[in-house]
Amino acid sequence: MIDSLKQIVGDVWGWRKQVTKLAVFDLKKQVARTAFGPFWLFAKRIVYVLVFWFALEIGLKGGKDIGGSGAYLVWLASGVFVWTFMSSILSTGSAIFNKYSYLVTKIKFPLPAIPAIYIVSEAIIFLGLLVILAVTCLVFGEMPTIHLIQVPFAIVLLMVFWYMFSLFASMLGALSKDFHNLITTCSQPLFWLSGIIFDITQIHIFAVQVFAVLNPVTFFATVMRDAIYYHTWIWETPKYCIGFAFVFLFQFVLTLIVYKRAQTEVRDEL
Amino acid sequence: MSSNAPEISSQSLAGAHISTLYDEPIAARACGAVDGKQYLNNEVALEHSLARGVKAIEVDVSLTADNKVVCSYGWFANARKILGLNWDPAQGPMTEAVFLKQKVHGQAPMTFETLYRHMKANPDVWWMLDFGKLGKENATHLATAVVEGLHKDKDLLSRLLIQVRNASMYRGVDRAFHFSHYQIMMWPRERIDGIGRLITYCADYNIEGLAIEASQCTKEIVEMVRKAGLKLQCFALDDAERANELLSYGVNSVCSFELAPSDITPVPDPFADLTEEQRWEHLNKLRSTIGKERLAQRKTAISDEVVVEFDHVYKSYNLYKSDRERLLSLFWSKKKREGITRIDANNDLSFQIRRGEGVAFLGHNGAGKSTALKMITGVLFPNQGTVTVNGEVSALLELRAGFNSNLTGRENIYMRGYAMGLTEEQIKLMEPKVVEFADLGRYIDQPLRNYSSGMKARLGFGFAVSTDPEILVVDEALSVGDKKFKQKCMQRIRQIMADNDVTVLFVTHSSTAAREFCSRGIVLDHGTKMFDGTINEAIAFYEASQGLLAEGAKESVKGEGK
Repeated sequence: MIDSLKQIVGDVWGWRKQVTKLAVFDLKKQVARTAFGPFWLFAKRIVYVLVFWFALEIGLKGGKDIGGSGAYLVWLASGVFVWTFMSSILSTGSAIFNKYSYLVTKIKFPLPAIPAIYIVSEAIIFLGLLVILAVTCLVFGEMPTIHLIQVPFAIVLLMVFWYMFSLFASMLGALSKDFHNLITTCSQPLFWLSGIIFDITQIHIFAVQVFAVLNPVTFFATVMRDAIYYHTWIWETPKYCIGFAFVFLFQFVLTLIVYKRAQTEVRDEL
Repeated sequence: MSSNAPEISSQSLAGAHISTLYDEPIAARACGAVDGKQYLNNEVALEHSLARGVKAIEVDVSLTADNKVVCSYGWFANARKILGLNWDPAQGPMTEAVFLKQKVHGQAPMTFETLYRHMKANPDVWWMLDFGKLGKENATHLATAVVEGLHKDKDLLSRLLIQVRNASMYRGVDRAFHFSHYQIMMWPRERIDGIGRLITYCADYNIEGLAIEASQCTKEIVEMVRKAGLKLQCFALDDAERANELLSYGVNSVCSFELAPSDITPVPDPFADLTEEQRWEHLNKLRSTIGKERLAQRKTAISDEVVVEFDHVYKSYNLYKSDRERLLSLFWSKKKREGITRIDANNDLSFQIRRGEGVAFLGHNGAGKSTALKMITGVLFPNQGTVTVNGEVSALLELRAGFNSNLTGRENIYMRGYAMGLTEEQIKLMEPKVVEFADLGRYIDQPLRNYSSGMKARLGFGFAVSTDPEILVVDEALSVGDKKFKQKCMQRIRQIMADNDVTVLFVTHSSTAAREFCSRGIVLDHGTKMFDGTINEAIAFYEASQGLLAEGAKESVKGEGK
């Protein structure tokens, strides 16, 4: 298993330049044939937040139970933006070998580096969204505090965790279409039971709380909100840290096992 | 290149290996000078020439009255003269026994058996056999005697360069014997008037170079030939200064006498009175004394290096009964997984490929050729056995795979470059080569969706051949584009093989293309190696097994002049 880990890390690190360049090309492909270019990378995600904002705060008169003193929009955006990253990984990132099938079947491109391409391209979009979020904060008078230093760490954790997930899910997905369907089906409950658009701590059902603690989506939304909106530290709510540490470790082991077992078969099956 | 050689001759190179002769400033020598002082027309001189790294030796062969083939070492001491011109028929027929008693330029001639042993002892040397001015019928007799004289050894036969007089002789000999390499010598006055016509002829028949007698060669001719993109070899040179002069004009290679016949100090043949076995014994001693130098050269000679090795390789794919079995099998134990039905794509496949070889993989669809090539490119892994590859592999598998139609040609070059693990600097260096080869003009900065399918193929091919690969894998990729582009691709593959000592692995159904680039063929059927040998034998085997002999005959007619 140590060998698998060495190989994965070695491949991604050894190909980091190519991975970054291909990630940029990935974005270029998305905005090709458009006049406004990069604008379209962000437009959909911004509208996504605005629709929720309108529906929840203005339409349903919600957004009052979130605590804190800042604007609901800031609270919402800091959670939804990080969700859009995770949502992309759950849908496209869980079948990444299909998206880049030519790298798998035609070219000797190291398998572990393939999910990294997508992670990096999505991370670039996410960083752009964070800039927009920063502007929003300033507009609503949400001033930065020391707690913001959690954000870079959160981004690194975000990328590493979802990279492992993407590699794991894509390998299984290449061997079994059923597994890929399972992941895409689960992405809805992961969203609605994560507290992205409402404060899940307000729901006092034990099962829901356990699920929230073990849900990595909740963890990342909470870190972002703690840093940007609540101005607290994530470890002040230790259950989330412990829950995520457990899930992270679980995912880590699972990824290595699946990689070790399936690495040669994936190219046969595609 | 014999003494009765034409004033101007063109040569057609059947195999890409031969074109390396053009890259050696000294391609061949008459054997040869010893210490630059004495000239010996015997095997002592031969050993010295080989020790100096000569890559090709011309041997004069002739047919005796009893249909035996005999030879002498050099090319100006012509055995045929003794056989024909200087022989009085009144003295009886010139049989092999009679011939061997003659002196050819003061030296004893050799039997073909001796040549066979020389060839066995020097596996990396080309042997040029001049079939010269023989009629069609005599050429056939001679070729038969050559094949039998070499004990039908396919390795030796693949290292012969048969010099024939014209295309019809080539056609006759090739049809019957399938030698792998030919030189066509042409008499300009008979067939073509002037060097200009000769150049046109070369272009029409896809001939890549010309050979011309040194005394006929002028600076103007060199310039004309070079301008037409042809390579030029000068032969019958007897003067080092003249050789340097010609090389400075841009002549690719010269074949030298090293010493003018007139400068020769007659030296008695030290082995003259010995028997064949005694001669050979002496020669072995000589070889061990001057052989050290030669051995050192051979070790560094890259042709000995194995670049691809398959060692008892098995590759099979799982055939699941249903999608449910496929899913459940993920959780099965290793033992239970072995019960899944498997189909063998490669079954106990073993072979070695050396640097610089051109190997064709022949076989019908599903024979396991592509699976084998994919394992060489590192895309697939064997279930059992090992695949060892030493060197950068560039694959011409599906030229258009991975191109994005919304990005420009230039962007696609970069994208594929990164996908293949190149750095920005490396891609920057190769970009102009790709652009030039693909010949897309202003289209290079247009999105690929505006390209015709031919343009996309050109871009893909241009990319694959611009990466300076050490191992080039070509999988039916040449079936794209128009005739002109195909020729350009062929030309480029030839160039790659000549310039870089590149190994080319070829999967194709076209025997013409296989013969063009490969000296060796491996026939696969149901993942098993059925045959491994010279390309002509492999094609014959494959076509026989396919019942396509009639088709094959057509192919070899089409292959004329290539």
